[in-house]
Amino acid sequence: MKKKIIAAVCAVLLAAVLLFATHLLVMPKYIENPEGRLVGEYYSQAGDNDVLFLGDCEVYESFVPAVLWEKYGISSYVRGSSQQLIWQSYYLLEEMMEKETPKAVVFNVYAMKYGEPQNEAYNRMTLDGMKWSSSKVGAINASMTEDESLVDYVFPILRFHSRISQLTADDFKYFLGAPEVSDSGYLMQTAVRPMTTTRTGDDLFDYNLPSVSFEYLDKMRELCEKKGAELILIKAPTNHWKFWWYDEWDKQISDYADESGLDYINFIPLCEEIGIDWSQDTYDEGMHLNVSGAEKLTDYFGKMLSEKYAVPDRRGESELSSAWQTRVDKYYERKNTEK
Amino acid sequence: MKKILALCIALLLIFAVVGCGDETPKGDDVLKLNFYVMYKGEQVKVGVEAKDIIPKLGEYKSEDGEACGTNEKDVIYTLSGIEIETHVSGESEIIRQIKIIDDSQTTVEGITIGSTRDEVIAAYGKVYTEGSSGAIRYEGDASAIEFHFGSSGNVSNIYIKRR
Repeated sequence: MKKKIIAAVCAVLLAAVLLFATHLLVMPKYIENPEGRLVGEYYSQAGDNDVLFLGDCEVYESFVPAVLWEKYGISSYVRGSSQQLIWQSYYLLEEMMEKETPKAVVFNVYAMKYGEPQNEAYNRMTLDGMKWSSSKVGAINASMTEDESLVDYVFPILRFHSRISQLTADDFKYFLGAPEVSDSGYLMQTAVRPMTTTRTGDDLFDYNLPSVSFEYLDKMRELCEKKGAELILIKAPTNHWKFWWYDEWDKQISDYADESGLDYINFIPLCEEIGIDWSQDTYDEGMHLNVSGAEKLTDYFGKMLSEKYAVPDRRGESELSSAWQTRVDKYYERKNTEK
Repeated sequence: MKKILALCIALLLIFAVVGCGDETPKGDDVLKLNFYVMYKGEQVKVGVEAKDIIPKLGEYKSEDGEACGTNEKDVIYTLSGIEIETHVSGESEIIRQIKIIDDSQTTVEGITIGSTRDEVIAAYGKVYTEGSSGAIRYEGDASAIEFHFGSSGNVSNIYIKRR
């Protein structure tokens, strides 16, 4: 009888291990599109960050925490992801606020234009990297398109089982996880492809930003107030026809900021002052900054964070300083390697 | 029996009167199911493979914008009088928008850049939605056509968009 019980337990354990191994094998590894690995990389650096950046590609391609530390002694993390929708930003912030007591939360407002979930591929790039918590469940429920279900997020194998016939060498190589792709959430791009287009965005039928976006912005503001953090709204300096920032949207954000007592910094008209050169500082013809542009913007904003928002210089703290020196060294190593 | 007959006739009359009202879309209903432009003798529509039509339209300039985190991108082909925007995903490149950019090109109903709002409504009817921008939109099954107006009050841009 005892042997039978042991055998049954072993069989169940073996089945569970095989199921988990299959799960690890079929999950997308985001090797070709490393943006899908960004959200999950936060946990190794969670806690002790004084500035948190949230938003879409316009944050993870624009702000370099290693430079903020090196020049201003500011400890920060960029929790950005591709097409990060505002409700995802809110739940990511809620999750991070359990581990952090930041002085400032910086939110890039471009994604305010989206009032509805867009597509599963982008949802997955933000949500799959989150550890399980009530914040993750909230983010999933707010993000799902009609074709998605919570159970597919709980058991991704149900969603990705068809990949079993499309596995590549990378799926085996990175079975236990791919190496870190970011530097404290900053995704480095070193190429230079000058901006040549003068095209602007197409006319819109309706310029009103969705009300749901403002509802989540209210929630972010309330969460920051509760934790004593300053919420700073920003618009990254990029303005390409594909991701155009309309004056009508800018006014709505400015009005909201005025009414709520928040600061809103639109970096688009500040490009010259920042020193951004669109023939050198972009890797994709003006849609995003490359590392040269991101370093310039980070330096400019770091000065503001330091002087206007009084974010402390913590280079005197030996333990934190040691951890950041490792990250800064890694950043420059990556920069030299990718040149 | 007579009462029922009278009621049926009354209902038919009501439906007939409603059907004849000004709210009925004007023009060719077939066109309104999927708006398109005629360009060099070709019907250019949204929702179709770009490779089947763009090579037939002559010279163009193109520029693209890649999506973040995916291998997808949008491409804009600029031809004389129109721009065609496509979305590229894998092997597929689907036309998602056609924009009339000058008065060398008209819609099938004869509307072009500089037309008046009254001319648009006379051509397309009174069943439209109006956006906060002041633009007006007519919905088809597979596409919609939007007329945007400049500071002069006349049409400044025309878009045919995939629904």
